[in-house]
Amino acid sequence: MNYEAIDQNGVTFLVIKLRRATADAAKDFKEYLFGLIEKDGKKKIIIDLTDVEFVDSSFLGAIVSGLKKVTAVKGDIKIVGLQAPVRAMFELTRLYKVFEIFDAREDAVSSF
Amino acid sequence: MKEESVSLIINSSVDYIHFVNDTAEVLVKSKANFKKEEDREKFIQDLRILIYELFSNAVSHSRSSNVSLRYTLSDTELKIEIETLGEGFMIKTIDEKGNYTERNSPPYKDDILDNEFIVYRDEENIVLSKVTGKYSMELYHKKTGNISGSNKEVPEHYGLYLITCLSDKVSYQRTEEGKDIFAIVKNIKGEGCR
Repeated sequence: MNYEAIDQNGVTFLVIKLRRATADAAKDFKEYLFGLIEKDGKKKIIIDLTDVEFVDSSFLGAIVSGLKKVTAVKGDIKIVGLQAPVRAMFELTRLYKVFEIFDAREDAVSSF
Repeated sequence: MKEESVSLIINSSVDYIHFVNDTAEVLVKSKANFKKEEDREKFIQDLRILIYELFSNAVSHSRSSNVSLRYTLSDTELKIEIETLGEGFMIKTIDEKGNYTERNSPPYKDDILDNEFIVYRDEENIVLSKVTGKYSMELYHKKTGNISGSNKEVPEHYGLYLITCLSDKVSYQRTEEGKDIFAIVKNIKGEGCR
């Protein structure tokens, strides 16, 4: 499985276990994320991208779709574990202004 | 330096992105002249994103089993030409709420010749498509500034933005044989939109 959801103190860590998070995985990921929000009722989600070395525009679009979905039910998505090339994509697209991004998991948890 | 050119014909699948990427990187690393090593690193980092977005876009819209690429390097620029057998570039204009509202594909109608269409927008940027002929157009990026009270809609499609942001010229042409050709120029000394 490319994704793992772990509940911890009322927060859901969604760990992306892909080295390249790209268009071929984006649709599948979006369905998984929407399932967490709509079916499982998760509202506090931290997406952990520690394993991801490269992300493309389609995968970023899927994360943004998830954010729109969860904010509609007054939830939020935070981001942790950005490697340099992935951080560069968040900066280029200015998504660092849209998402709260943390280096440490504990900081992301306490931000909710 | 005389122009250096490398051509590739490769399967239309993102599984082959490493060949596409590595070819460009080897050409730039071995032949391009940068004043500082950090300029070379930045150029290559941008190139990786640019090539991935171009190639995956070409693959997803291609009707053929192959994609043709040509890299041409001079003292001042890297030109990337990417050719597929496709359906023609469809211009989807986008309104302030992020809705796609109008569609045009080649042959573009005479009444939209020289017209500019917004094909991407966020709070600080737009990407414009300008129709330059019945079968051609150009894409370019413009910073609009962070205007208070402007559109707050967060886009979900970043491909055209990244391609125009990381290059200095983007043009498109459809041939009589039904081939779609994108030509991208990235200046060696270019700053892009960073």
